Amino acid sequence: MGELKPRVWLDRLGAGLLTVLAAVGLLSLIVPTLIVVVESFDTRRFIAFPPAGFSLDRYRAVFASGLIIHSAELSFLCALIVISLDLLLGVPAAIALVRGEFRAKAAFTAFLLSPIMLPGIVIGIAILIFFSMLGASPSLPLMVVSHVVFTLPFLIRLTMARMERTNATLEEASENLGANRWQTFRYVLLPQLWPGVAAGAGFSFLNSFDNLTISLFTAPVRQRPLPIELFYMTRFDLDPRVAAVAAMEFIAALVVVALVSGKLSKNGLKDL
Amino acid sequence: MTRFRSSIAGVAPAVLFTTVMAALPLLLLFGLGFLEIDRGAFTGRISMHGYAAIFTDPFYAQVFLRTLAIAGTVTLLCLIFGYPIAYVFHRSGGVWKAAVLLCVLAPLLTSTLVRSFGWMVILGREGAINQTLLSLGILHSPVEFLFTLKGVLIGLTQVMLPYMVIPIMSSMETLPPALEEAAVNLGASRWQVFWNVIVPQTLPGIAGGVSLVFILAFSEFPVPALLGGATFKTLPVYIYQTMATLLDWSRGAALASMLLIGSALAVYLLQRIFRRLMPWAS
Repeated sequence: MGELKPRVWLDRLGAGLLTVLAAVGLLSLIVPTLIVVVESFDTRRFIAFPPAGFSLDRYRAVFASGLIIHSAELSFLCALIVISLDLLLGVPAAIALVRGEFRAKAAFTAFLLSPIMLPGIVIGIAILIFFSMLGASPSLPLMVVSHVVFTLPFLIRLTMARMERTNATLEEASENLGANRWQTFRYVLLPQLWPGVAAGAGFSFLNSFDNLTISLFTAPVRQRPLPIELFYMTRFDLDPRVAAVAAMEFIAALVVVALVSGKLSKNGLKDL
Repeated sequence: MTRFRSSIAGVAPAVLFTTVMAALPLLLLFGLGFLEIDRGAFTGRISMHGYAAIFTDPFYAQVFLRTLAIAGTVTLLCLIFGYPIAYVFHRSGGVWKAAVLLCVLAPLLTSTLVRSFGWMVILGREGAINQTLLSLGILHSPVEFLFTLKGVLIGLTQVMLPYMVIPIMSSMETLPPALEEAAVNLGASRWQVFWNVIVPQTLPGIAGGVSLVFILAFSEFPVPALLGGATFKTLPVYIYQTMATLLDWSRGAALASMLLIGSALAVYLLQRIFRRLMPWAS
C-alpha cells in the first residue's frame, strides 16, 4: 500500500490547484461588475474606490441626461429592427438548410455561417467603405445592416441546431392531415424550434444593443447609439454616470439569466 | 414528402443579403489597399499606398507582432483559468452548478465596454486594488495598471474567459459517465482520471475554445482602446485611428485586411496543431 501515498498527495495537490484556479477565474468574472454596481451608488462627483456613501444621484443624472436617454432609445430601436430582419432572413434559411434537399447545401451553409469568423472592426470598415462608394453615409439603416451581417449567422446556427433535433415525420403528418404550409410552420415546427429561435433573437438583441466596434464606423454621427456615447464618456474621463448605466444593464442581464438558466443548463449549452 | 424539403426559396433571401452586405464589401476591402482614396472619394488612380506603408515601415510589423503576442498570452491565460472552471462545473451539482453557470454566462450579457469600465475602476490609481493594498501597508505608492500591458492582459483575459469555458463545458458534459467510473474502478486516482481520461476526451472543446478566444482577442477593440489608452495600442486600435482620426481609408482597409488574414492564418495553424493532437477526430 506504500505506493498509494504519493498518489493521494498528487490528488490533493491537483484538486487544490484546480479549485484555486477556478475560484480566481470565477471571482474575476463577477467582481468587476459587482464593483461597478457598488460604485453606481457613490455620492461623489468622480469615480474612486471605496464609495464614500450611498445615494441615487448617479441614476438621477442618467435619467436627467437627454443625451444618454436618446442614445439608449436609438440603440433599442436599432436592436428591434435587427431582430426582425434576423428572424425574417434567418429562420427560413435555417429550416431550408436542415430540411431542404437542393444542390450545394453544404456550400450554402458554410457561406451563410462564414461571417461568424469576421472581426467586428472588419465588418464595420468594409460596410462603411462599400456604402460610401455608393454614396451612402453612416446612418441608422447602415448601422442596422452592419449589425445584421454580424448577428445573422449566430441566429441561423442556433435555429439549425434546434431544427436538427426535430422530426420530419411530424411535418408530413401535419400536411397529410390537411394543414397548409403556414399552419405546419406555426403549429408543428415553431413550437419545437422556439428555444433556439429565442436564444438567437436574444443574442441578436444584445449584440446589436451593446455593439461598439461595428457601430463606430456605421452609426449616424449626429445622433450616437448608447455604446458609443458610453465609450466617449469612459475614454476621456471616468464619467460616474457610466457606472449607473452599467449597473442597470447588469441587473437586467442577471434577471434574464436567472429566469432562463434552468432551461439553458439542460439543453442550451449544446446549441452554442 | 413535406413542402419544406424542396424549398431553396428559404435560403435565397439570406444568401442574397450575405452576398451584397458582407461578401462584396469584403472583396472591395481587400482591393481597396491598391486604390487611392481621398476622404471617402475614390480618385480613380491605382496606388500601392495602402499596403506599401505596412510592409516597409517596421512600426506596423511591431504592432502586428505585439497584437499576436497579446492574443496568444490571453488565450493561454484563459485556458489556465477556464479549464478548471469547466471541471468544477462538471464535478459539482445542484446550487453550485447553477452558481458557476451564472458566473460564466452573466458577463456575456453585459457589454465588453461595461466590463472594461469595471476594470478601470478596479485597476486605476484610485482604484480598488491600489487603495486596498495601500491601506494595508503592502504598497507605498500606487502601481500603474491602466494604460499598460498588464491592464490590457487582465481585462482581455476576463472578457474572453467565458468563450473558453463554454465550449470546454459542453464537451465535458457530453462525456459518458461510464468512462470515469471505469477508470476509477480500474484503480485510477482522481488526478489520473482528470489528466488521462477527461483532458484528452475534451480536446475538441479545448480546440474550439482556443480558436475562438484567439480570434476574438486578436481583433478586440473596446478593451485595449480603454485599458491600453494612448500609451499601449494594439492593431485594432491603430486601425480605428487610421480610419477615424487620420481619415486614411486605403491604409485602414489594408490594415483591416491584414487583421483578417492574420486571424484566419492563426486559426488554420491552430486547427492543424489540434488535428495532430486528435488523430481520431479527422
